[in-house]
Amino acid sequence: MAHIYAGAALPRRTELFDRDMLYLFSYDANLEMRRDEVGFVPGGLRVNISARPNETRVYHVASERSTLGFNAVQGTVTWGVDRALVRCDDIGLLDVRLTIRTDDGATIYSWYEGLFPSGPRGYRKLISEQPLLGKERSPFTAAVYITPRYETNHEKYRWLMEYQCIGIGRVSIIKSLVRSASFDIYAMD
Amino acid sequence: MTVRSLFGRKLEYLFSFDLDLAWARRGPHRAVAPGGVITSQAHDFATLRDADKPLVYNAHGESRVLSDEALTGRVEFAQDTIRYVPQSDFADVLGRVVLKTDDQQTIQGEYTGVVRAGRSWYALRSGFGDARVSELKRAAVETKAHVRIRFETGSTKYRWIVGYQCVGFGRFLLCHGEPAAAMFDIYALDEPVLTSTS
Repeated sequence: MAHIYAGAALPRRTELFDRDMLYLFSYDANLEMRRDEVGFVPGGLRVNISARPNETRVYHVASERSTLGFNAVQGTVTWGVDRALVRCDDIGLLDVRLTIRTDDGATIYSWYEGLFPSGPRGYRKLISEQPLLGKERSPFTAAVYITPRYETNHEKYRWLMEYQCIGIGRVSIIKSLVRSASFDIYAMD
Repeated sequence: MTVRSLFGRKLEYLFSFDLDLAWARRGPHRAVAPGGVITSQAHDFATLRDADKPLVYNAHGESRVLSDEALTGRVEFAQDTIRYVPQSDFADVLGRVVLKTDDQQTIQGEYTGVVRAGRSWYALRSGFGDARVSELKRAAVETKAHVRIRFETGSTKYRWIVGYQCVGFGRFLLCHGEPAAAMFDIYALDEPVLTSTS
């Protein structure tokens, strides 16, 4: 291949590329369906957390019916599981698979990894310290970030597959257990 | 169902890097696999002189980001795999970059994402023997690229980057239908610190 530039060290740019985050939809998941405490594995604590099926609504916060010129995604999360690893360096890693059923019958599959910074000594707090983190009336809330992709064969929603998405979210922790997670999903553009 | 307002969001700019993918190249290796055409290549920039290695730099010239020292240095190694999705205007991309900072710390980044070029992409990848496409294939086509990326390092000084979910907004330059350059601005997803309501 011909070299386009004079060398591998390209000139520095002083202008950044456009960075748009286009809001798509939100969902608030109840994660009290099932919890598999795999236990301590190399690197941290592994736990699998499943959402209650068909109880998580996918919605647009402004109730708009279209987004990016396409049908807005509205429906229900029919199934979802997070294979989480809480690392001993206070970083929680998410590995999620879920399926969305839209109100007009489309099935959308999603997979994503994510990161939950538990803060200094967060690992210790979650696994051992007393008192337990978060109370029923005042849960401990923390930021969580995900990077979902989507797959579907439905022609109305195929546009979703073209985007790398970002999710900005919150987890709610009661008695050191993750009880719910809420996300706002954006498309990178 | 209670409808809430959107969570606050913030992208914190970290650094940029720009790769001429024609240098120190191994590959590309191509295969037709279920799901599309896959092409992989690697770039061992470590074989070049330091002055010739791609830069890792802060486009704003900032010396600090996120209350830590800004990350500057060189790209030592890059590997990317692109899966061209049939009948579509995008491709899946995954890869790895190894950075060496100016103070000789090694940081590895692993990324996945999409490359999007709209209609020009589809024509570029699917057309053969068409005069218009042939002309397009001779031209350089710039595509948007968006990736999620996470970093790992054993460096105490740069350990802070491990705790962030990062994203990259960038461009792939395709020449003759193959990636000739990749340029990215890397951001950390950031939010207010942990709050306890208990």
